[in-house]
Amino acid sequence: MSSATDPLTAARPADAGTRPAAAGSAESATYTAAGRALLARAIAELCYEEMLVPEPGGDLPGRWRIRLPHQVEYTFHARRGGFGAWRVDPASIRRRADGRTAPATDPTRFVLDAREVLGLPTPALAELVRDLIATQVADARLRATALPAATLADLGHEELEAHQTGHPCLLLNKGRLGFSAADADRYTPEAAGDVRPVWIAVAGHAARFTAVPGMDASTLLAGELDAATRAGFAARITARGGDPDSYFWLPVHPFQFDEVVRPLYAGQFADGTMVVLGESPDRYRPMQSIRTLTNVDRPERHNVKLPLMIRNTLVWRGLSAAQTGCAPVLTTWLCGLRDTDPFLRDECRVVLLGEVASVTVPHPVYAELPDAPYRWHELLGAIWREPVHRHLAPGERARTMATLLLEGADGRAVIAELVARSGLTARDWLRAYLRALLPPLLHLLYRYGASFTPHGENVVLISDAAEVPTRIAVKDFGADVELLPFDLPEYADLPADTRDRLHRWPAQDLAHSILSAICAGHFRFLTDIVERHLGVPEADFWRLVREPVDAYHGRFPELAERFGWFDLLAPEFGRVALNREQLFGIGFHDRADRDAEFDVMHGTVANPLHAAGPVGVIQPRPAADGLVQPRPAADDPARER
Amino acid sequence: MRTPPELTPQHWQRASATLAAKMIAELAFEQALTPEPVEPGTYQVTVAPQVTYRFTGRPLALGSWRVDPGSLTRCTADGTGPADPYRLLLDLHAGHRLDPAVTALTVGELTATLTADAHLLATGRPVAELADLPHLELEGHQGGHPWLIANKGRVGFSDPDRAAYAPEARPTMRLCWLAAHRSLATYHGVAGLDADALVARELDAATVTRFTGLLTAAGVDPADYVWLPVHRWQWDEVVVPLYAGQLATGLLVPLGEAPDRYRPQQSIRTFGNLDHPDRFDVKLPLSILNTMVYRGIPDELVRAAPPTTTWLHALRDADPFLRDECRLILPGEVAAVSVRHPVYTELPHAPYRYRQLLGAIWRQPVAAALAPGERARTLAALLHVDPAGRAFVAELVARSGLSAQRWLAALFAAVLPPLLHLLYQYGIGTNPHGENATVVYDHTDVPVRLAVKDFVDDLKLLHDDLPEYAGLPDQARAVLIRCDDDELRGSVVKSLLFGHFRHLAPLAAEQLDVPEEQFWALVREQVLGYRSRFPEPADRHRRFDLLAPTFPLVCLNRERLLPGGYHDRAERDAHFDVPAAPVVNPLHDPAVDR
Repeated sequence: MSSATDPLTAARPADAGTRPAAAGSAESATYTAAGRALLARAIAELCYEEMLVPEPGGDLPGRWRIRLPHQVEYTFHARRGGFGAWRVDPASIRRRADGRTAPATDPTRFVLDAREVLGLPTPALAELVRDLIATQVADARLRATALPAATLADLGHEELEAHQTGHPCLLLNKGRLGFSAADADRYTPEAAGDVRPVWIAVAGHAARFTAVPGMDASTLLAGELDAATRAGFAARITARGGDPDSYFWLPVHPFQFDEVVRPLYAGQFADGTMVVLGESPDRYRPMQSIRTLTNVDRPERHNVKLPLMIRNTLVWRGLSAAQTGCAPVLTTWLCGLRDTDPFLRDECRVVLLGEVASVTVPHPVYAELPDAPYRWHELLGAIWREPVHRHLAPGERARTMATLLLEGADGRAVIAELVARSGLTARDWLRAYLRALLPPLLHLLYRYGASFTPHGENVVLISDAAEVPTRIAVKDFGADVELLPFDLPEYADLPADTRDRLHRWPAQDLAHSILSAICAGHFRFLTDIVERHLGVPEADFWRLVREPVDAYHGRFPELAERFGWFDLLAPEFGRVALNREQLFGIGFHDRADRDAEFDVMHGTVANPLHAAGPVGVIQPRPAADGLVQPRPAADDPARER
Repeated sequence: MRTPPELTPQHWQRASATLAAKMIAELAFEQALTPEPVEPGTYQVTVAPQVTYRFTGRPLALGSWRVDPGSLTRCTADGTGPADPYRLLLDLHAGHRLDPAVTALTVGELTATLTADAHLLATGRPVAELADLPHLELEGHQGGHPWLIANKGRVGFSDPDRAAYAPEARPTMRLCWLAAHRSLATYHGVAGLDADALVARELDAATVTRFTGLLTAAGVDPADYVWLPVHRWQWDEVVVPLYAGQLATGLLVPLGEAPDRYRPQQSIRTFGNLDHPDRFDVKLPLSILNTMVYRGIPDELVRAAPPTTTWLHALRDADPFLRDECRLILPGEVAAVSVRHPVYTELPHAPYRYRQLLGAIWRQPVAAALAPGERARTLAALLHVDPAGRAFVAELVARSGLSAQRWLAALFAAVLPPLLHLLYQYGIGTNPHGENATVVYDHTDVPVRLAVKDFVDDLKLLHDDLPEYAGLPDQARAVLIRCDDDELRGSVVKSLLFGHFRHLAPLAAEQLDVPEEQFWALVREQVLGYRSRFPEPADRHRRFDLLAPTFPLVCLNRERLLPGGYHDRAERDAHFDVPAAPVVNPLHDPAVDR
């Protein structure tokens, strides 16, 4: 525990500059502002998932009311968006209780007020409160370190990660159950601190190494560690009486090392099956997923995805042996598809961030307890993933797609800044973005029956030197690639044991990789930004989305049967209710299978892709560039505040 | 960053063998396993279908078992191999269909226990040296709860936490202080000890000035705040994460470290002052699960601690037997600060660990009550065996110059009469397990009297209001556990007979040459002696009969292995029903007792 992360010792006289927070202080104001925004998100998302049902709230249009037990009610202003989205104005929220009405800023109070309506058992509520406070603390930190949009747009991919605001659908999106305050200071993306993984060696019989062809453990290590470091580490093994060549080496997240690996593998450290090698000389930064680290000192070295026994959003963040072992195999398969498919390779130029090697280390006791809760089976391992830098051409820039939802400290959206820098109209910029994003994902889905979870963190948007989006990079194969339940001919090159280990879902479920992950999970929020900051009405945005979909369908008519399977243009589809899944899942984390069922669905939502109609039919608003009349000043983001 | 030196194959294997033997012995005591004789002195238990464990050992009184650690082997159709605690747990899991979630957590607790045991082995010292150590130093050498298998689980502690905070790490710690606004916090003290007096006693003037200055600098009125120490682990893991809003708004203000150095006692969360031994011990909530429960301190108990102390002290001070003959030491919980959590206070049915987050209890140190020449050691110390195999009790007996019988008689005469008096005369059950009961020795290491602590957390009263409860303050009445006759008697049966003497008796037989029957006869003598001295109230001798033919069995380990043993329940002391046959009472003499 260093003094920098220990407020109690920081208050010692030697550190006289440290002052505790007090009412009216900046800390207090920031915390309250974070609470107000979180409360607005809580209302919006719980209403979206119909856990709460507002009623019109009086004479003002756009005013809504949620009546709760014990004569408590909340009123607020909201605009409505596609999918029935709620765009709640944080400053407008008021709470009425005991006959008095006051501005509401406390999401915890709101959850307590609504507890009977939400129907959560008390133990779940107790954990929810903990997650909610942790999220508010993280949001307050983000506010305290917020930068203007123009500065954000200048940041590199990794630095930008420290400013992302987390999963937009989830109320409790930064719970990190298991992290102490000091851990949050050291290991969260928004803390933007350096992390040095601990390298350990595991005897060959106790670990499994998998890699893409052409990669073996020594090649990998030669790239990841300098010769002097390797020699020093090898000496540690020799000193413990082992042969360095008979061990696999892997980095361990320092949190996992202290909290999980050292405590639970104590017997293996005692008998020499495992040896501590030392701290990584390179500094790393956590990406938004927290457990994927990117090398700060040597950016060309691999990203490492490491298990963390924290529960964040929906699941414990370990690394399952199945997923970890599959990752290089899937990488080989997917990259093989891409390299032999001219559309993906030459037109989309899609980047697949290869998970080129992995190590899994089963725990000898838990391995014999297959029924144990899944987190005990995901304790130790590593995946090495190509950094996006390796794939960028000179002048290209990469940012996760989540960046498009960011608003800077100055109230300006990053997307507005990017559009302005590009010199394009907003619509043209959005067209470029959607053309970069959708065709490769559609092709992988239709042509190869493979889906990803292309949410805002997993898709990296690549722009040219003029900040025009040109292509995407996709990541997270081992964890997120899913296939159809029957074997397509296109699966032939994927080894059968890997096919068996992947999740297999019906086509309508795989369609959610587009409909839910992108449309409901990203565009539902992006449309709000696009309306407010780019002046592009939501209906227009959906027509723009429809363009590349229709273009793809026109381009590959031979896949028409499959278009029917996935039915991306259906009038409606199931509403993925992640908050329901999270809130009602509390207390069920002792199940043995992490993904026992597909996402929790609640009712259906109207599909805006359906409503947008095919391009050829929208006569009033022809889709061709330049024919859409921009609304006054709408495409000038500089005037949009 | 290296593997800790104690993690050697030798220490690990020795700790493993000892723990596996303890698992068999304690689960046999709890009737989860049934040893059957194979040949004289050799027994086997069937743990799962086609899986037996074989050992040399012997049955003991109370249905207990001695299992020789080196002798335990696992036998299956595939052959025979050495026993291992993990393999044994997996066999139990298969044979008894344990809840996978509970078994999974138990793996972690076993590992933590083995790690601590390996550390104790690596740093162990001969009992001849330990006998010279002061009370607080000795705490760092003890092996933990003799009955519970995973007795150093400390779920929630990381590896560095263990090195920094575990008693066997023998850390020297400074406590951090926190100011809590009076809208959240309340101070409670015995008469004559208000918040200012407490602070003046516990902190030097310079520190008080420094802390006050921090509050003033923060723009708040120091008079609006109550001060309390916080365990660093709790601060980092619980207080900052859960009281973030109160920290942000200045309702909680960290004050920094105070200069005194402390040492954790066996309970981990109670600290003795190394620099000013006359200052109070401090008991702090620590939201780790260790042995049976999460180690927080519920608000309502914190508030009730001083009034409970006042009541108990008044009873003792007005009772010539306790006061003058037993000279019973009752380390008073004289001051306390409770700090409510504004949200969890509204969730009374939340798992109990959420309702015991922040607070402090100050307790009189035993050392302050000692006469010149006296020394104090926890009762648990008597069960300690050093790495060479010599028992601590053997060292003390040797030093005393007394025969083993006379020394044991002195021990029982020191320990039993005050506990029996509290039970029979006042209907009060203490929890005098090895850590709560402290034996006071004279300068020749002969036991002379007892200190028993942990009132508000552990005292039990009967359901029906005895006349002796008349003076019980309302705050104590509201929180003290009420129980039936058997459970009240359990204050002696469970804590002392099952929890301590059951383990001391075989040590006495092996190292003091006092046969088991003689050991229990010496205990019986004390019970009879007390009864003839205080025959009234006769009905209570019947109700809490320590000479009954049998006692109901208590199954601590089996409780832990039940589904739900991992504590999402709202009640810390929820009742678990583990069916077991009563055990034969070695204090019973069928020829004499009815």
